[in-house]
Amino acid sequence: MAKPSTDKPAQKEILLVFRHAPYGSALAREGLEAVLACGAMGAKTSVLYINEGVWQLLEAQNSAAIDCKNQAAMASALPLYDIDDIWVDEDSLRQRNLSGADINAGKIISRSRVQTLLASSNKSILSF
Amino acid sequence: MPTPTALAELFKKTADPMNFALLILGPPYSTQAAASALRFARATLASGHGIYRLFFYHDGVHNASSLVSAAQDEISLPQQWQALIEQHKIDSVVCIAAATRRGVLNEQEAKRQGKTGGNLIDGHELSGLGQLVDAATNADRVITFG
Repeated sequence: MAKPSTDKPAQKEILLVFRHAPYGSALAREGLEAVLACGAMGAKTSVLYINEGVWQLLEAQNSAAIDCKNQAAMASALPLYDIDDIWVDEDSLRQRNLSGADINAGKIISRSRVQTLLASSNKSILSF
Repeated sequence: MPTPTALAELFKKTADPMNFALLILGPPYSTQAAASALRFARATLASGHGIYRLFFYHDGVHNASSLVSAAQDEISLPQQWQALIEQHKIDSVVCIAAATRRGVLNEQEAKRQGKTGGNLIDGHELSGLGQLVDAATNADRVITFG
């Protein structure tokens, strides 16, 4: 079996992409747990919220009503876990009639910035 | 989305063999994700590339359950994973937190949780998310199937 070359340049960065709504499946929650593990292990880590994933950041959500942990509250705590960047796709917000005032974490970027983010090399992308 | 074989063909065109990590989020049977992951894994190895690690997470942990009982005229994904892992000595990790919540336990964990018996298929290891982080930093590519 082929083994990886050992002369790697810098350590790979990890980008976790959140594409699904916060509840209804455990993807958002378990994705966030993966983010926390990346931060805890000192990996250079960033997060991108896109498509339905932007709902995860909605300030006005009451997850106690369905006995779940609040995803927006967990997301807003990410900087405490050494997560470098939290990006939010501007088009996804606009398509859902949301704006920066509705979300409680992240930096809003244009679709072309998102494309650059996804295309850059030396990065592992995990999709949730 | 290209087929797994087409994807593997695409990677075949690169000069050096690569080591892939597969993140499998989909359960057997309910969706196509895990079946696509299995085909991709086979195509990867057939194309001369390596698999750094399989990481089963989210509903993907059910792929490691020995209690999955497929109908006689249908394929059993858990069995096929096990055969591939054994044949190619693949490192396969099942997230212990995700698995425990969903009732996929090894003997040790079953005892610890006061359950009657474990159901983790041989060849998989129950471990933490650190193994996913390790794969994401050390494999040449990580492909998510979910």
